[in-house]
Amino acid sequence: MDHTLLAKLDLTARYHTSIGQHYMAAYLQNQYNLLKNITEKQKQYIAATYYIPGELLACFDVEAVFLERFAGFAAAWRLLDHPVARADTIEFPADGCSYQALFHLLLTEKIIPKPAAFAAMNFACRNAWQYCKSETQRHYLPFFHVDVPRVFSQRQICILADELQTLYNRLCKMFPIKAEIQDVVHASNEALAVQQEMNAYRRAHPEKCSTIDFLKLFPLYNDLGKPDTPDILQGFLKRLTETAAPGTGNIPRVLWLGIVPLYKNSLLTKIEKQGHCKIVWEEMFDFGNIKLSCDSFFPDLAKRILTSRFFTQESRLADILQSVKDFGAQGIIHFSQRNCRFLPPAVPLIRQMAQELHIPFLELRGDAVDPGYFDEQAAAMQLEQFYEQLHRSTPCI
Amino acid sequence: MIMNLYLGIDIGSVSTDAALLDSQKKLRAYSIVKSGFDHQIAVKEVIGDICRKAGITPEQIRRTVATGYGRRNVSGAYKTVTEITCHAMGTHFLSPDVRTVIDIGGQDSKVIRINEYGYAETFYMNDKCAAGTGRFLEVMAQAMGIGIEVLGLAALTAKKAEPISSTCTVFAESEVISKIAEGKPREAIIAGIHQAIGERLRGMVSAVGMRPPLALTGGVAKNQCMQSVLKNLLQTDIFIPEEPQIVGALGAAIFAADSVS
Repeated sequence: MDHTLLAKLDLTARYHTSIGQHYMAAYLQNQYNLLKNITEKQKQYIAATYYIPGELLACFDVEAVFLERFAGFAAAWRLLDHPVARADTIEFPADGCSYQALFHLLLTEKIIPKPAAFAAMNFACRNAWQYCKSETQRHYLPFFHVDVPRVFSQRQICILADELQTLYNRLCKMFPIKAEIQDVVHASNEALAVQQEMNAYRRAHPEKCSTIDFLKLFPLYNDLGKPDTPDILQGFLKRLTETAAPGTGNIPRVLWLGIVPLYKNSLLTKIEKQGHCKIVWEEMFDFGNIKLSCDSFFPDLAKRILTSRFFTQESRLADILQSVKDFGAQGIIHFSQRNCRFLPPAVPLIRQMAQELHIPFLELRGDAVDPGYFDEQAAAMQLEQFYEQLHRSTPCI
Repeated sequence: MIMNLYLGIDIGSVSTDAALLDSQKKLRAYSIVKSGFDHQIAVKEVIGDICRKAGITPEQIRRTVATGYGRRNVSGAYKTVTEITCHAMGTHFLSPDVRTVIDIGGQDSKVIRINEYGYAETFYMNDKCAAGTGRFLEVMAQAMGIGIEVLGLAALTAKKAEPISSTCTVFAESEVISKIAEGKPREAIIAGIHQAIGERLRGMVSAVGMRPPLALTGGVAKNQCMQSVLKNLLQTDIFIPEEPQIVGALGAAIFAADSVS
């Protein structure tokens, strides 16, 4: 087994401790422990896609590795070059995305061991589900599939709740229970309460908040239900409130939509510096406001998925519009992941909305995981154009 | 003696273009030279050429604004402005009613929506891909064994366009070679190549949302078949500047003049 990822996680956690970001260090330490458990102690794990509720998996004595998070770590540290091209040569589904390609490589290069099972949803991305299915077929592994309805209604909540309950029952047969539902519910609600406090804080003090920190920590969504997630979030909130305002002055405020190139997350800092602007908000660090109850655990989890801002383009658009107003944003940048059918299809609508608001909009296209698909020169040119528009525009909001 | 003359220089991947305006914003002269490997040499050459045409010395130019991807290589420029802004302004100067500009450059293409003041409202740019650019036509012309300058005229003689399904330059080239081997008429294949670029550009136009009137700029705008294909695909008349290759430089010259006033 290759221990590079383990070493990188350890080093990064220690680095964050040294700079006083204990919440970030704790988050990374958890992932380090998880990886150590599955690599060195051969503990079983389930590979899951992003929207499989963390609370559900937290009930069981099995590790949960979320594909996107581990692919993200590998991308950020550039563990594997040209993941897309390399994955194509080793039985990777043709329409899979680069996140899946990188996870596939982590498995084939034995950086992480083979999972005990895969759990996938067809929301937000059907390709992720297809990838998981193909892996399970190849390795003869169990495949837990949750079919998410395409519309929101009370009936659909019941249908999805049944699906989640079935998943829970199937996992019960395979793994011992580690935590009672009430403990998981308590931890999840506590984490959600802190998260809402944080989002309220950054709306009130956008100049004090570093958007990139929120982008780094949004995968905590997958850790809702774990006992130490509220503490990590509390640490983050404490750090925010204790940080002195950098005094950004009256510079234009920009919203960042979508994800960020993981191998180049300094991009946001660069944009703020070069464009004399402040990126005040991103949309990923929002886990919704559906609190869980022990009596309606599965329907509540279902409701959270079906009321996610990303569930429909309309809800996402309404949320972006609200954020433009709340933050007094004067520009929007959308990073569109290559071949992604989840967030980029809303771009024409966001562009139109930005035009109606008389604020500049920029779509940066690339791949969050594979630097080979990010044209830095074109991005620099488009950003420069965006800055020109940003400093010229007069929003009508 | 310094005169009220304003120079715009657009350093593109293929050509370096310059436009010279007087204080009344009347075009005094323009020049187009090859960019080559050394932008400093191209700048020197284009300034020398435009001054010769205008009958002035470089010292008589009051202010210079540079644009294009090599804009930072113009020493002595008062400022640099992005080519999207310059193309928008240059087009607006030539035809103030235009609201959408398609600029087909050597290495990239852009669709720019502009407002009533000539500023870019929104834009879409192809990146990391030669499809829908002058480079695509160049590669296809090579594959067909025909000069780039006569490619458009040859296509106009086609009775029908031979469909080229791939918009990727590499795949399209092999598709073209296959069609030649199949014995398809040369002009039909060339018409198909233009059609493929047109389809690609139509997609870009729909991404920003077309608002007529529309203008076509950049070197490829001189290609008559391209003009005709886009006109048919977009179902609208298209304004083609007399010299579409200098629109960016013209926009830069306008910014130079405006920076004084």
